[in-house]
Amino acid sequence: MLALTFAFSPIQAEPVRLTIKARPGLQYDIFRFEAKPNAFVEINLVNEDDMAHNLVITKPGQRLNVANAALSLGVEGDAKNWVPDLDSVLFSTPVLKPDSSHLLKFKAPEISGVYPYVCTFPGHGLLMYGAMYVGMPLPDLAKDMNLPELARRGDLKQKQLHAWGIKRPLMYRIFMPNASPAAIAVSLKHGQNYCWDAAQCRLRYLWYGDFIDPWPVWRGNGNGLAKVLGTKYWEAGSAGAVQVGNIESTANFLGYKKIDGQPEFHYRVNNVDVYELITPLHSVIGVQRSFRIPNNKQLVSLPVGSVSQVSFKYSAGKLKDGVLTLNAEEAAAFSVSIGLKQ
Amino acid sequence: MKYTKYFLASVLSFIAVIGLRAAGISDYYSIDNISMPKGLDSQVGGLDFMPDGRLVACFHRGEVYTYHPKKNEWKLFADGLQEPLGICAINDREVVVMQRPELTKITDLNGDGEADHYQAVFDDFGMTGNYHEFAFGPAKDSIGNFYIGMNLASNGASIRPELRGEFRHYGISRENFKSKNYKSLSGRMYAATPYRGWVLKISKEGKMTPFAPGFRSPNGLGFDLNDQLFVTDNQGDWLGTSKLYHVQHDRFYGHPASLTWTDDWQAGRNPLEVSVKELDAKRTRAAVLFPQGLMANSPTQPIPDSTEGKFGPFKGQLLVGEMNRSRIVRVILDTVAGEIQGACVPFYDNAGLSKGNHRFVFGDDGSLWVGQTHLSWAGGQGLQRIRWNGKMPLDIRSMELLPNGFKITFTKSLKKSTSVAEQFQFKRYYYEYRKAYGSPQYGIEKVKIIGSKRMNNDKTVMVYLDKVNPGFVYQLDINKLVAEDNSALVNSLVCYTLNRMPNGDDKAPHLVRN
Repeated sequence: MLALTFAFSPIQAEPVRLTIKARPGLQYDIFRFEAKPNAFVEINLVNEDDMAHNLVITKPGQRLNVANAALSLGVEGDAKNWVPDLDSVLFSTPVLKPDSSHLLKFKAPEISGVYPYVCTFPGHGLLMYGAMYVGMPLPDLAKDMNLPELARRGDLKQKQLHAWGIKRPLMYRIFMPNASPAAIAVSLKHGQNYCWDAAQCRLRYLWYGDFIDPWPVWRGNGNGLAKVLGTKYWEAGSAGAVQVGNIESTANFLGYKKIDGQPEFHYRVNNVDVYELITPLHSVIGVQRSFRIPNNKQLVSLPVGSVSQVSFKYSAGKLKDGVLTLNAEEAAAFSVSIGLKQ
Repeated sequence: MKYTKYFLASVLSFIAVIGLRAAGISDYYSIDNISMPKGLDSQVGGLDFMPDGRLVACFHRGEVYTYHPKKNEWKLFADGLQEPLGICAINDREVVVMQRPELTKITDLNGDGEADHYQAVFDDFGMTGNYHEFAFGPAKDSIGNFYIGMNLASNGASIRPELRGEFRHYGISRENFKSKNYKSLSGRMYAATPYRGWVLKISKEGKMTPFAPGFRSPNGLGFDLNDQLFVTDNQGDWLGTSKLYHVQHDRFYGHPASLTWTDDWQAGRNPLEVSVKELDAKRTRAAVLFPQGLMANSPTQPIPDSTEGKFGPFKGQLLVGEMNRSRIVRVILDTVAGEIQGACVPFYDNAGLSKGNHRFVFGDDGSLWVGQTHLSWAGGQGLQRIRWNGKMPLDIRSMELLPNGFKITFTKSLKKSTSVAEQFQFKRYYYEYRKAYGSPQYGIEKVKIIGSKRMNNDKTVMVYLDKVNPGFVYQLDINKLVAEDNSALVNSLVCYTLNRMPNGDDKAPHLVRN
């Protein structure tokens, strides 16, 4: 029987075996590979990141559709490994926890083409993908639009900048573009990043994907700005800091406490203590700003900036003309979230 | 056979070289390199010891590590800081760090060895985003106040669109800082936000007192054992050569850019356009000048030898780092008519020492820990440890001004046959006080020895000179000096800064050009 099978396959395509690692910063370490049509393919997916990932191979051109369909699975998502029931899904791994691996075996499609692979875990699909070239030559890396921008630039490996390697959350006080000289850059889990201004006590902007390149500052004496990597999706503009009471007053920065590696900022406005913790949203790209303003008897207002281009939610208060107003009781503990619009 | 002969010959010549070698610092001190965590950019910004004996160090990319000297073990304590350039351990769980934007108290609340709370102790000073606005210190006085040094901005770059703090510059508007020719109006170094060019005093509670203006790049603040504050400053505009100041409240130390932020400064009056004479009358001269190219080009932290003799014979004296070469300088102070002035000598040259000697701390055992940096200028990186081996070097212990010369005391008795006239050579020169970058040596002349006397069992030499006047550096070069026990002099260069005579005369009009 076996001999017969071989006899009927005169040109046996070379098998492809490779290991793809899921890395911090929402990326696979291998962004593309080649396979002959009908070739046996074996992918060992190793999750080296600190969050969950999978790998789904789709029909040509279907990466974003599949990733978006996964997002809409909602509460069913976990049970389905975030793999939607679509014809455009060809092969998939389960969702892997950190430090685990899975062997995915399949036969490459018969038809030549560029078959995307993508992590469909919510929020990851925009950044974390690559391409399997079946029966097609690889184009120039720099011009390969089937790959994430980082891969096109050839920066496959993140520079190791510290003795501890790469970790999230991570924060730097560093010179940042579009912020005062006392800026703080923070990278959270799930590829979320933000810039917070310690001179003005306010969130300045948000981006997803890679964090920053601090090298322009660190290479010498500080005559440079860190470079924001990834994709910026929200900026505060002129929206100021939290106000307490009716007197317009400047916020005084008092420091921060680290909670699971994430800073909870502490500042004082009009003699009232304000605490702000920024955490990543779990199943979409976005962050939650959790405020605590205990021991306060006055009205609180938070200018939220322009939120028409993002998905904006708030737990309490009234939103009017870009300002969220809360009474003292509401302001004791409230949160707002800013997420990428689906 | 032939090869054996050559081999023997080279061994013999090697031994000969060793035997003839002049006495060097390595005959008295040894140096070790400390291995650093792999992957760390080990440019050291600050060093101190916690009470439990762990070293704590901060680094260029914002990390703070503790190091257990006995276990040779590094542990991350804190991270995310912006160019920390000084650290002071409060207890085993708490440090205070001076970083670019802030004086920060960092605490390990839960005792797991890693910090969780970062408290802004003081950040009420300005930042333009200019790279040169480093923040130095903190130096702690005997009652727990912190002193920090605010670097001026450099016109090697402009100011950024967003500032922290008020903008004020009487020579150029904020708008004009965007123009291409801002350099000609800003001054080489400028103080466009509050307290640039100042030393500030911060109480334990975070209350700030503007302490003294007039600094350019005060990368080194330290108290001596008598609770007196010393600050180094770097050659450049208004500094003919690098300096060590004895800093006292409300005095002005010479760089005018900072005067903009004094209470009594007349609004609209550009300090850069005030006459040099007026500024000279207002300023306090440096206690010690470090001749450029000869002694130090970029002096760093002053640290007193607090080891009670465990580090050698220089108890109580200040050591000062030097960035540009493998050197640590020693300072010999002399109080004359109520003011401190004095001499500097090379203390440790080469012999395994790196460049970029930036921050220091003494261990309980009397060893000196040296941290290096470069920040893209001349320098080095890493951590070294220097230990005294207990042998007494022949070196200068003290130098005091007399009305007509100097009284110089050595660490041990000189050979009876020593001829002072032959072995000692004096010359003098001065550096102008001026706006231009640095100053050449002016008025260079030999100073004749007109007499000498030995005292104190040949340990002390009185040298009488034909010209002794204020406003000069007196440079002493010593040829071959040998002690009674046949050991040779380790360092032969001494530069004494003569600001004032024993009778209080400090007139030196030659320092300012008419």
